[in-house]
Amino acid sequence: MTATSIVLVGVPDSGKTNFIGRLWIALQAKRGRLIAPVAPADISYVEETIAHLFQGEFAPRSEDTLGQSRRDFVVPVLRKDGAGEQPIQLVVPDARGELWKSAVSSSEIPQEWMDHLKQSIGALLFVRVQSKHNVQPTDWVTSEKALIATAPAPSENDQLPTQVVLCELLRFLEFTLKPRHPGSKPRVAVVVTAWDRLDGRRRAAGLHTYLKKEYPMFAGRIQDIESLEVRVFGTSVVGGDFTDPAFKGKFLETGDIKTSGYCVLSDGKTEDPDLTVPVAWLIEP
Amino acid sequence: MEVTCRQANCTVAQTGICLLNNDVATCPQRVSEGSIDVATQLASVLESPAESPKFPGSYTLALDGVRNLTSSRYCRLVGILGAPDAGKTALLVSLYLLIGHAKLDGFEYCDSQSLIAFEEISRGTRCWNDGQPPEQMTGHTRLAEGRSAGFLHLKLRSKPDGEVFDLLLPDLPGEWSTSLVDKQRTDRLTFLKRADVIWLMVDGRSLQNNSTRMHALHRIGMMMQRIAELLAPEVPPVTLIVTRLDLGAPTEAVLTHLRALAAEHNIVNLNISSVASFSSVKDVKAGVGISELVRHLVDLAPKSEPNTWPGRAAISGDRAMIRLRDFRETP
Repeated sequence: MTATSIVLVGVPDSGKTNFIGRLWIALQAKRGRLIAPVAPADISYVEETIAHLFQGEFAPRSEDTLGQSRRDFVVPVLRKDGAGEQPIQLVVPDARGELWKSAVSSSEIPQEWMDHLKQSIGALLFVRVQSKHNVQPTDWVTSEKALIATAPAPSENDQLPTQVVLCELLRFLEFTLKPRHPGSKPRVAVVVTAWDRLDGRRRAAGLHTYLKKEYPMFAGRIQDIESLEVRVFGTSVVGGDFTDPAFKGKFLETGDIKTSGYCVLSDGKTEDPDLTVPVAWLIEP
Repeated sequence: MEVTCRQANCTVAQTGICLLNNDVATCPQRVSEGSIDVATQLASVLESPAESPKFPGSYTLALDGVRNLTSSRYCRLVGILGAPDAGKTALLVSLYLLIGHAKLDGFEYCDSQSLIAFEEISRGTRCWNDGQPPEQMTGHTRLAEGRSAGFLHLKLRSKPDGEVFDLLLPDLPGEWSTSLVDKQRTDRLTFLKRADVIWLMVDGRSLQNNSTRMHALHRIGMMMQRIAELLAPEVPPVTLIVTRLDLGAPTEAVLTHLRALAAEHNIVNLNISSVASFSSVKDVKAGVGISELVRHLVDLAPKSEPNTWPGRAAISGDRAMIRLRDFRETP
């Protein structure tokens, strides 16, 4: 079996854990572009995550709940339309958002993660709609005060804007990811999670319009980058927000998680019930 | 062989008498010279912390970094000069903030190899060390510590034509400009000879106030003279940027005086712009004038096209490859 590594990249609270949990359900359901022919030996990590989803709750931030020991999700996958193909051993390392946040602020990353990046043929780069951890760009008032101050700005201002972090993470991926084949470019799927949290008008405007408005520098970087093949997807792991009592009640009463949720395709607007789309694109031959 | 002892205060090496009254030859505390484990003795008490691999940082570029970048594509280099209080840093910061908020009219962000440097300067988290401006650009390409004299890089896309271009903007202390005027110190500013345009910056407040205007004009004239001396005979276009537009625009008389100064020093291509990098009044938006400044820069013709084969004149007549093809096609 060929082992193919992809890496999940994103700051804390960007939706990585819930996506992996929902991906596991999609692989098991065997309705999407990728299927899991057999269940891997160790599925404790994803099972813990989906236990929250089945109860009508999103999995909390990994940093808050999980211990320091790292647990990768390793699963054999087959392309549904790849008749006769051997399964691919998909290795998705469990990387906490704090790791990437720290990598951007210090330009350093532990050796094992640098090795993982260099072994990976693609990456899922996460950004979550309306995350309370999103940091807005510095404004003129704050900046003028900082320039006038004789001492460096206090530590509470020491947060890099999310769009700068995303640009830097993309730059790290440029330096490290390996191509799938000689002559091809490594792929990065930008996954905008919690897409359902936007109102209908903003969803209708599409992914690219959203990124351009919220993270103009990151949107510009994606458009300009030449060394990577980048596509933007949107996801909603259950199709709604569990903090909405009406949605949660309906989900728990009559919902089926296998048919809940969707992926917004890279045209920016088309909703597809298959949550395996971003990973399938990353590893397609 | 010299006899030494592990026992504190034992003088066996000097007196030949064991402190514990043991037989010197068989004392268990005895250490003969040959038995000392040098490796153990010299081993560090603490292990060095493991170093994590680093990604290249996106800080200011020194001259070697600029060379690497310009070897792959044409970059418009701006020479930014002005007294310490002229507003050079404020202009760079405001340009960055406009880009970050998608408010730089007519342009979109593509890339920056100095993104973190821009960010940190804009948040005031990097200052010249202890207020002491650096004496030289450092030799390293990118520096992680402190605010270093160097170049900030920006890659922008012009709308609607889609043309992509790179800018190199020096982040230098104002003292370098002061010493250019006062001491004709040009050694740190030789990169200006490659500049596509010089942005000569002046604090607009100094041109508003009767008590400071004449001296400010005199200093601008001196700066123009130094620029002309340093860059002659190919003085690039000069844009005189009057800052603090929020506190008032320069009068027509001042503008006339500035044009006369430029003509006096053979600066034939002069553009005068007013900007408000920040604003203290409602009527003037922060960042006003900066988009026009960038547009003017982009519209200037590149100083020179890259010379692929320097020092070789074009060869006319039959080319070697054509002759080779002719030869192969001959029966």
